[in-house]
Amino acid sequence: MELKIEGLSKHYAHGGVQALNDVTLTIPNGMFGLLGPNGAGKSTLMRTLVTLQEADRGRVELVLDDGEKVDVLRDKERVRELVGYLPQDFGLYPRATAEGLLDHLATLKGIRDRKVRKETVGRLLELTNLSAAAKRPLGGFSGGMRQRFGIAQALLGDPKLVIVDEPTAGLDPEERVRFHNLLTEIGENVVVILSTHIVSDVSDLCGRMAVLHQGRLKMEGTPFEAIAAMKGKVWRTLVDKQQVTQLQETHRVLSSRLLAGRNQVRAWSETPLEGFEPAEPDLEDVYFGVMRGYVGAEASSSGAVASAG
Amino acid sequence: MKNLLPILRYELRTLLRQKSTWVFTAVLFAMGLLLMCAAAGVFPGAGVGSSRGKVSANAPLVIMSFSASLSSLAMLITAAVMGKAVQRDFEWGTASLFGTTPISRGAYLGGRFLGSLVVLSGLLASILLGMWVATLLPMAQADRLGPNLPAAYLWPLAMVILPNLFMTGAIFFSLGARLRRFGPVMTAAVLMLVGYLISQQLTRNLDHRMLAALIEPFGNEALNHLTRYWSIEETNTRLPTLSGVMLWNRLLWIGIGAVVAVVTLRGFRFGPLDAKPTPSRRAKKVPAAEAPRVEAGRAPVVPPLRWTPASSLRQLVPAVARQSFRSVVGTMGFRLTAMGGVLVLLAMAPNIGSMYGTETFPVTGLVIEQMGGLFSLFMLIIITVYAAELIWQERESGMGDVVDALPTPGWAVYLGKYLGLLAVVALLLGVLFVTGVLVQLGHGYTDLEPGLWLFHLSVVTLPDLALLCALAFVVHLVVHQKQLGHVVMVLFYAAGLFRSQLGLDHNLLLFGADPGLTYSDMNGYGHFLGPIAWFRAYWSGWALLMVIAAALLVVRGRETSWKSRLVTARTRFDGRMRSSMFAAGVLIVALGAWIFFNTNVLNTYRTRFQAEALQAGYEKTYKHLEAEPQPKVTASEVHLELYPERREATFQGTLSFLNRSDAPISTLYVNVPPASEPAEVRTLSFDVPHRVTHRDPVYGLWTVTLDAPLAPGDTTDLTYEVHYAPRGIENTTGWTRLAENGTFLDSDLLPSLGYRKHLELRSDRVRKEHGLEAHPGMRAPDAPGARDTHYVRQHSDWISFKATIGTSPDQIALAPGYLQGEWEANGRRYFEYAMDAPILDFYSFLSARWEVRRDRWNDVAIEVYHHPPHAENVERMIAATKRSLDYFSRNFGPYQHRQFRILEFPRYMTFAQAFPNTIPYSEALGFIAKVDPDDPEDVDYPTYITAHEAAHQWWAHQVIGADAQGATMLSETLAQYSALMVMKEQYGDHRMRKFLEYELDRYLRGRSQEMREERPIARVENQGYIHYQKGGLAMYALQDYVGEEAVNSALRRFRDTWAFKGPPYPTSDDLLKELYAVTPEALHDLVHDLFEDIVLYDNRALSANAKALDDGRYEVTLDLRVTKTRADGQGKETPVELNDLLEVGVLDAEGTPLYLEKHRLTQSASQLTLTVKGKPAKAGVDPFIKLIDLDPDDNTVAVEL
Repeated sequence: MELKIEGLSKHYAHGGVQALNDVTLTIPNGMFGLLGPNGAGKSTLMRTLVTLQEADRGRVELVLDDGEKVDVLRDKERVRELVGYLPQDFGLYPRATAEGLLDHLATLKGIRDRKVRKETVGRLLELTNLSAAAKRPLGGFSGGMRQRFGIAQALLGDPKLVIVDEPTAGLDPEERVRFHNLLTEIGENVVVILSTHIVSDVSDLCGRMAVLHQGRLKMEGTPFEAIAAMKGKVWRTLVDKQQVTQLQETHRVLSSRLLAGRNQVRAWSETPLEGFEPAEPDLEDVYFGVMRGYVGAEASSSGAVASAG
Repeated sequence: MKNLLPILRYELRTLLRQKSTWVFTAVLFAMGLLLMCAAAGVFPGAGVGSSRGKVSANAPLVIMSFSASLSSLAMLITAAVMGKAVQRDFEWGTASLFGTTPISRGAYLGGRFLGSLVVLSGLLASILLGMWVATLLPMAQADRLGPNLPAAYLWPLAMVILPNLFMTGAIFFSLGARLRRFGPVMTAAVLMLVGYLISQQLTRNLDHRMLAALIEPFGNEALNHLTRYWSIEETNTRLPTLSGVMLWNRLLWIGIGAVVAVVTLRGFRFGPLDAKPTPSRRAKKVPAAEAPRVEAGRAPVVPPLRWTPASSLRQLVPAVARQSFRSVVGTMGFRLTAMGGVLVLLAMAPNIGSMYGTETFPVTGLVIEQMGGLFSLFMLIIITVYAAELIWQERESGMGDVVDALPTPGWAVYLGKYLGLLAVVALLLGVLFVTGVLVQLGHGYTDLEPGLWLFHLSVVTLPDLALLCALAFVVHLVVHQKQLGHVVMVLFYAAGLFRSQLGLDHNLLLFGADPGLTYSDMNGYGHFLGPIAWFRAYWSGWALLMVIAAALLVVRGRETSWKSRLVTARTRFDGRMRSSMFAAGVLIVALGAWIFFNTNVLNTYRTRFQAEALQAGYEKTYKHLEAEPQPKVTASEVHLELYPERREATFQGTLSFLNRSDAPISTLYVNVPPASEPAEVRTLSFDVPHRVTHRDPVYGLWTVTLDAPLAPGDTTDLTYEVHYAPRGIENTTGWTRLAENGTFLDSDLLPSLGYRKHLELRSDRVRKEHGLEAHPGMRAPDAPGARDTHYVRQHSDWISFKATIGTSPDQIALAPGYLQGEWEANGRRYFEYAMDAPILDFYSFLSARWEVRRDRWNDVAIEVYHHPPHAENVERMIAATKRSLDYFSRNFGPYQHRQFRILEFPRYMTFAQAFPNTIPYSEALGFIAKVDPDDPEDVDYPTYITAHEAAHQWWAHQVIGADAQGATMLSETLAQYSALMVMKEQYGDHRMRKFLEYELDRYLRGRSQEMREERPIARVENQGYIHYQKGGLAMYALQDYVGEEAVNSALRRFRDTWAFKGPPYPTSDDLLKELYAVTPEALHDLVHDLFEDIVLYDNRALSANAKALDDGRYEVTLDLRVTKTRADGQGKETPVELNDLLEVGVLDAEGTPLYLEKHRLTQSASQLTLTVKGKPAKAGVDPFIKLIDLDPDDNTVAVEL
């Protein structure tokens, strides 16, 4: 199982945005994290992979275990049989029950045998821990329950490629943990692409990851290696609020966050920095480093440095 | 409330920035403009309303009623703006933001409401602006416009537009704000439509008009009620006042709007609704929120099955259809709309086919036609709304991406949705069926025809709606924007309403159009189904083509720009698509060409304008022939071969002519069927040497030159053979006179001589469009030559008549005359008839499978030929015939025939017509009447119609009027009077009142719709409301004032003088002379007022007070106000001094008169004191409305004791 993306580009005429700019990426089995700020092009990429949008240029190929190669951009019908999709924001018929809607979606997916369908729906509801709410109208579901229902429908019909777009947005911490567990379970045999702007989602779950920024692929690899590559290059210090701006002008600041009323500033440097102490790098440092263009494949070409977020 | 102004301003800015506001404004402006353009004659041949008469297009009342109807249509826009005003804050989640500011609820709601109200007022005012601009256009015909009065454009704003806006706006606004959904707003709009329709049903019964005017939400009915009797003059000059029922209606509905708004908005809050727990709160109740069970779980392994076309059809399509059906049927909007439809059906139930407030048997064909027609409006609403809902339901609930990424074939999903909607339509048809049958049973009618119901609903109605559903689907798929899709659909419906104005009269031009059909109990579906099937096939071709276009352009996923849709369409346009498109194209072209060949080549298709142009052309080309003397018909012998099953007829016959003029005639102008008629002239020749010198196929006129002129007193015979056979599909239902069961042909189909002036255009405005002078109208009775011809046929006097008819062996064929023989030959049945005395040149031929009921009156054989199941009123007709023959021969003179026949014919035409001793009588008129003999309110109209037609055997077939003004007074008015006398003899004077009430209403409304000029009865120019309604009323009043005996003696003398005479023929002056002769001098003014003038009364009782006297009697003091005016032909009224005998009456609680005497009143205001025995309940002047009264409702008042 492998998904190969080559030179994928997409330009929105409306608004003149280059949503995807020559993205090339190979995604193997397992959980793959797609990281990037809002508007980076993640959703465009995902929707292109599930046939909801057209690309201007590029190729996408899905290679199945049995050797079948699927041209994702052309052979849409085949793609739709193979993917499971949980969109970033989606709604549900408020009056339908979880069981009823899932059954209907299962029919659409092609699970034609009534008995098999019933069994599948039952098992998916169980898997997503919605069995108790199976007969309740979806209008009364909490955010977490809705997301779990979303994953249940995405898993209908044994998909080979599961695409989940920002699934943890809006979930409370407990719900998020539950959701992560669920994703890990299903990520064993298939390609799961998880798009998110929350770094810890990726560090918790994904064997591989990529960072997308302004439509460009900024970095690709395993979180592990990426963190290792930062070792010895991340420094931290505690300063007052007024000094942060000043530091941002003079240093390659990765992030600045409040810590016990003062500001902890982390910066990137090949060499030790005065007034800073060494820090253990984490994935967040990698992310900001990539975003700011200090590290990563195309570090040299990145433009202006945005202010710290 | 201190923040109201900023919110108002913000709302105004928001609305004014919205594109839709300006689009709506433009649409309303355009509608006002177009409507007024049509009224002002900008589009030749396509007017609206009374644009062909003398009412100005910009008359205040016209502007007012245009505004009223357009503003009720604009309710849709009001719903969209008002319903969304607050609801959108909830939809977008901004409501909670307002909730956290210090703005009061009152200021927020008030600001929003007023803002929308202001913008909508301007928006609706653009209707009036549009109308005003139209009157300024150079293309507007100056003679159709009166002076532009500013008040005429402003007053509708105050009287209709703004009150309607406030009322509907308040309701929509508050529902949208409180319930936070748009659905209930739409449902409220539908319910208002229900109110409108129910009140329209009510107006069919005179007694309910007031109620209808009150409860109709938009004021249309109230306006109609207030101005129903306005003359042309009043319409052109008067501004309707905000008074009477109009005022009450406005107050009632503004009040209802305000109350609904206040009650609804009292519970308004920004936060979550109490009634419905919020999702998060509900969620807490969910047990088992622990981590998912970790059962080495993985997704259940189910092999994904590919949807093949076959498996899609078997499973996917039904599954989607089921889901779609349920999702529609489950909504409250659907249920309320369907219930509203049923409610309207039940409201109409008592009135199905009723006439004069008398019920009709709810025969299935009629119930289907009337209920189905009304219910179809609700079908239309449901189809339009839910086609869009079904197409948008996934996207709107946020599941669009999920569903679009599923491996379902798009065609199967949409087919499933389509079938789901069709199932909804079928369900509604089922509701219609059940309601209809229940209504039939409710009438006590048990002769149900479930087969007919099922056939009609499934074969006739359903495919039509299926085409509409397809259109709605395609529109929404292609437009891919819900609101815009709705706009397109509304434009489509509007195109249907304004077909003629848009030049879309041809059924090949408007999607789904067909020639239509009329179901008749006698003739079933007749020949109508074939043409409909052809048109349906043709439109199915279009539907297929549109479906292919939709399949190419349908959006799946997020690529919604037209550019990318076109790119995608190109990739979808594969071989299969290409060939289907080609097939659809071939289907359209082939069927379209075939139908066009039928409608336009085999038959002649003409728009109204073209038809009028043809009439004008005839007049221009041949008017000079009017002065040419022609020989007159003296005898007609016809041999008709009728093939009902093939709908063919061949006339062979001989017409004998005599030169009655005093000059030799050498050129004959023979009228034959023009080329546009489905006829063929096979032979046409005179028995003297002649040549056909010119043939005009367009107007159907052959010029024949005789070698030797026909000398005065000489005769010649014309032998002819004319074959009639309708040619294939026509654009309209066309030739219904030839029917498989129930053929009704008349002498108009045979050749004749001379100029036919009845073909001339009558409307002066239309004449002007075609370059003709205003029509001079009929001659005065004393004009030279007026008495030379009678008014029914100008080229004959009295003729002898003989006919032989061959028809199918299972049918009876009839023509005027006595049966001479009946035989079978060549598998056909023949009947021979002959008249033993001269008749008018006016006869008919009928053939059908009848049952015959026979009876006798003295030596007269009475026969009723009726459709076997239509036996209910046959005895009634026979009894009416006997009473009529008895009364007429007693009072007017002997009946000239030895038989009297009534023949039922299919309901394609709804009249009864008196031919000599033969009365064709439509099945729609009286055969299925349900007269309740015990109900004093029921008008026995089968008796009335029978008596009227019987009376024509005297008034027309014995005495026939000269071809001049007043001619129809001698036939129609006298027939009307005679019928009233028969009714009065049977039911008594008292029960005639209900009937006369309807007649007065019809007269007063008739004169308000006069196209040319109202004339006194004695100068009537074939104007129905004058010679029937006013004539009957006037004659009835006359016999009330001078006595029935006296009037009858005058009529007897008139008949004795003129029966079977002519030329010279009698005129209305001859009749008036007899009437004056029997009237006392003191009442000559009355005769003059009734017959020679247009005099109107407004008789009112202001108050009536009674006190009990010691002897048990009562003294009643009456305050009366009597106004008498004289109107000219345009309705301009001038007061007349009063010196009239008027009836004054005091009635008891049962309505029986305690006192009823005629008093001579000389002053408008009079006070009278009367003493009566018995307790008075009502009193007043002319209590039984014997005179022409402009407001018959206020003649009496309740007596105060």
